[in-house]
Amino acid sequence: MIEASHLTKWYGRHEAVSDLSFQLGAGSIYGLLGPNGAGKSTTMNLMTGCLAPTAGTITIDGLDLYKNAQQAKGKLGYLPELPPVYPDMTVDEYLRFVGQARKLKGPALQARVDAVTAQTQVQDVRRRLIKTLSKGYRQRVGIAQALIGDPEIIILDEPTVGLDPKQIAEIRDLIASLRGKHTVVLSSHILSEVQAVCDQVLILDHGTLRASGTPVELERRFSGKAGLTLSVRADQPTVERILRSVPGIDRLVYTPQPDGTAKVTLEMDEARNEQVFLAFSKAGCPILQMQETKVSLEDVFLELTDHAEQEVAHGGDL
Amino acid sequence: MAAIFKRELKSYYTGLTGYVIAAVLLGFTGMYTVTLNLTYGYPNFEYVLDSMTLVYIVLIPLLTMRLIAGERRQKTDTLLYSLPLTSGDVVLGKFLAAWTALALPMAVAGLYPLILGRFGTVNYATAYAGLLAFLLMGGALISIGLFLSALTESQFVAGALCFAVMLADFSAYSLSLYVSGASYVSFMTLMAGGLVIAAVLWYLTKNIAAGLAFAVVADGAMLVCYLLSPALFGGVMSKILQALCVFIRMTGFINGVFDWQAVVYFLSVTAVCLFLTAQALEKRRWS
Repeated sequence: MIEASHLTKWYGRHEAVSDLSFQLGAGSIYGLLGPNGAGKSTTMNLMTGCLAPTAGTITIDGLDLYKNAQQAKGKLGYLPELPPVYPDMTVDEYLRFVGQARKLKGPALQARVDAVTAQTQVQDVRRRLIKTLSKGYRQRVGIAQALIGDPEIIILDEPTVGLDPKQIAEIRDLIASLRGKHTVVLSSHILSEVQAVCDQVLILDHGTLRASGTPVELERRFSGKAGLTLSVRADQPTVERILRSVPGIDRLVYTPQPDGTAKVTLEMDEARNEQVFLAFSKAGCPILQMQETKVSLEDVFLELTDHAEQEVAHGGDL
Repeated sequence: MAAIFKRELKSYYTGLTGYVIAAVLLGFTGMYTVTLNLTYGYPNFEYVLDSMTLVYIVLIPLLTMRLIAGERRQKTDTLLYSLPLTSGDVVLGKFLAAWTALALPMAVAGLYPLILGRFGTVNYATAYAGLLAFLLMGGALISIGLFLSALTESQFVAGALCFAVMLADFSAYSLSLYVSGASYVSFMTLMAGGLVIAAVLWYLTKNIAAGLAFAVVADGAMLVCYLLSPALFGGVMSKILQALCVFIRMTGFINGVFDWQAVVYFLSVTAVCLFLTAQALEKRRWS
């Protein structure tokens, strides 16, 4: 659906994006994750034709974004970091303008305006001038304009920035509702947001792609091995005997606890939680507590970007 | 293009700009009609239009200053870049909207010769040819203002720059009559002009090599020509000033001549400036 090949963008002497290549398939939600200044907005501007790359190409459904600009852009909807709205227009006028620029007319245009105002819940402000709207409503109007042409690909640059928690939840629900029908690419430096809505994550830093995959894949890849921590009431030889029936255990650490129980930490080649549970159950030795030990997306992000000192917003910061 | 045209035209009348422009144009047309046609009894409506050209010095900046600078200031330019429109569509849509905002009140003023004709003899051919020239000249000046608006993010700077250019262009012909015809004066002025163009090129491209190359080639060529034949530069400044003066092209129409050269001149200036504006928009995408 979208293929970026060796994208590079220089601003004067600053290389904002460096030899970036990726492929995004249809119907999924992709998250561009990276610290401030990682090149997320530049990448999005390149993906929408707002900027031209210094080197490299972008194709949308096989159409070169710069050689077949009009056709390729017809498949895109874009919400930049600041909603590109005209303060002197009403919501209705603005959406009709964007629709007309996207070659919609007559009843089809009216139907799309009705549909996107309902989808983004801005029906009650349709007749109001945009300059009188709150930031949350402006953001929704910005999303509505990105949706008006019913594009296959929707690109949203930090769609929830500056919104209150309720508005963030609503926008996230809206984005999640686009899954399957549209390919959505959103950028964020909020890890919980990416984890909550994205099927795939691309981590950028200093304009380069550091890693990509599903959040679970990234956590697994960077944790190296699957881990499990158990609390059991059994001595070490018993635990070792029980676990002999479970293959793939690379490391076992037995730590007796003051309350007579023991903490057993396992490192395995892959997740074998069910087999471990059944082995203890079969031996008649109950597991008092069982918890996966894993690397979080936050750990992956920090490891890849090496910017622990930089602003990294978590769910609690919302 | 149609979407941009409609949006821009409507925006003139959402605020006061469109009404101010209409009021100024109709007010001055009425004033000059009363003075020239009714009080002094001239049967020529084109005299009114000739006097009206002065109004363009203020109206053109007002019409054009926000057209592209405003998009950049409120960050709506990213929307235009991401829509399936070419830079040509955007520029043409905006130009036609500004020109329409100018032409609508003048269409009302276009009734004046008909009204005057009921009370005396009016030469309709020269009156309406003059109106056509007035509007074509307006188009050429709007395209200059539109280009200047594409060079900056500040509406104020765009407006001030446009006002200065309009004033300079209005005065260009008068200046040409006073400027010295001596070769060395033209040579020195052209050399300075070459440096100014090189500086603008450097500013626009952010490429010092391009600016320097232009300065060396242009000023070098002029220096060689001057050393070989100083007489070549005799009266050149005067000719250049006259060639650059858009306002003076109305003269033929005022004298009752349908001046095709002026029509081609207005259309050429418009086409060149619109092309440059589209290039200025494209440049931002690539820089």
